[in-house]
Amino acid sequence: MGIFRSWWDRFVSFLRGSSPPLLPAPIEADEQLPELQPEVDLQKLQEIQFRRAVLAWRDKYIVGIKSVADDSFRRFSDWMDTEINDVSLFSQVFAKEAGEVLLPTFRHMVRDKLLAVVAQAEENIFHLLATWPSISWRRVQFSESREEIGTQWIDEIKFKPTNQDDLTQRLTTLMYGDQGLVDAFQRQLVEACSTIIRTREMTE
Amino acid sequence: MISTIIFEIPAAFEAAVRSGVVVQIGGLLKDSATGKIVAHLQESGLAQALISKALGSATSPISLVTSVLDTGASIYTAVEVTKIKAMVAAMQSLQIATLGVSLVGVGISVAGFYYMHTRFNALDQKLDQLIDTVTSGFDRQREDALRAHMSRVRGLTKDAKHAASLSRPDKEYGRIAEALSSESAHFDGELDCLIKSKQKINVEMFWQLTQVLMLCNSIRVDCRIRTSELRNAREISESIASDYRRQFDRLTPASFQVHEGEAERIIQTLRDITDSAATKPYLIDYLRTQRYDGGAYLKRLEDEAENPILLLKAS
Repeated sequence: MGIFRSWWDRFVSFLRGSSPPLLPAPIEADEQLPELQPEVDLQKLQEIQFRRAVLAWRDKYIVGIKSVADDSFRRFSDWMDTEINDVSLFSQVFAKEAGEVLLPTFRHMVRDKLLAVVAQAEENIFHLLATWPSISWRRVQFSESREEIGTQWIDEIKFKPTNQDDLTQRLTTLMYGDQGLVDAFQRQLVEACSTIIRTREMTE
Repeated sequence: MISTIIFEIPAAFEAAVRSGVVVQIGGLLKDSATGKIVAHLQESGLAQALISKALGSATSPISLVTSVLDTGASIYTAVEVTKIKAMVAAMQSLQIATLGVSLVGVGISVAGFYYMHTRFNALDQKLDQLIDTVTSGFDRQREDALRAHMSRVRGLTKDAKHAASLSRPDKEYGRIAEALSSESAHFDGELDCLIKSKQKINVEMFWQLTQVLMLCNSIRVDCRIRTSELRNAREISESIASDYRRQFDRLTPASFQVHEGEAERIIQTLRDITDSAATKPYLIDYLRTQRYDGGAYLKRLEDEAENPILLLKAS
């Protein structure tokens, strides 16, 4: 309106012959334009950082679980190979159930090692969440059934050298199969991560 | 207004980033004490030209740096190698670990459609070979559909390349952006299928689909910026960021059919891509609040011949 008024005044003066030649009024640059307000939320930048940190935590322990699983399972397999080759001919006739021989050692050598990684992951995320004080986080709970993972043991197979390949295959599936030990622990991490991110989004 | 845009080079912020006074999030730098945005990262046309060339030969985006610096130097001139090294160094000085940010466009994709077209052709060829050779669960009908969509995107990038010579290009840019929106939805769906398949993900197929998707999205946003539809460009980029989060957040190093080290690098690249997409709306909104002309802004970046990475200081 101001610009138009200024132009109109000059135009009228010009018609009256009492003014300098008609020139566009100088626009006083941006001062006359209203300041445009940002339409993005700066607080959301924190959310991006938060997501990244939680995803990094999840991914680190997913790799950690796999790495500990590979290492401990290799040791266990070596132990099993030694044990099975030591089974005497007499013992082969009256061979024990594989689960009976292997389960205690498997728990000790493999499953407990994985549980330790998961416990470490819980501790780690607890500290990480404490650095985001805007939400009061409860201690992150992994699945209640965690202790049950890896206890559904292979049945109906005898512990003797002729079954060695079969046993190795079954144990590998138990470790790395679709519903295997590694998959189960990794899935718990994925679920915990989703819950944390969702909880934060809901409280934003 | 465009004449008043002042770009800085990354070295200007290096010390502040190193000391933690300023933190990098995706494509921007933020003051860690006040939470205010200090600068927006911006790749120039030079960066796009260098990356386009490398994409034609590298097996995947994460091998870009190594293929350029270690083995693929034959495709570059000595000057280009120096510039690429400078680009990698600049990004590392801002604590950006991968080139993922470049792939999505640091800030905005400013490739100029010439480079986008080049990049697309390289992707098109690779994807075509992959469909033939990889057992990817594609039935004949899906293969045909994928090829048809690739042709459509190729046509649209070509149209975009020529749009500037029209007497009134805005309408054409608008048409291209709209058409690419549905193409992007198609490739998003293809990617979804690949990710949801029960097998571990074939990395090459994953990257080719991801890059075509990102390319479609970059051009969509680019077209809107060129016509100074900045509010719309911002909304589109917000929606793209949300799509990337949905697609990529669920992926972990265990998702891919590769050894752990490479899987971790892939994940790192994807996180950089997602964060970069999430911060893109902030840059676009900044351009709007400063009343920058989108087309002129992109032109300035496309013309940059010295620095692959620039920083737009936020006042």
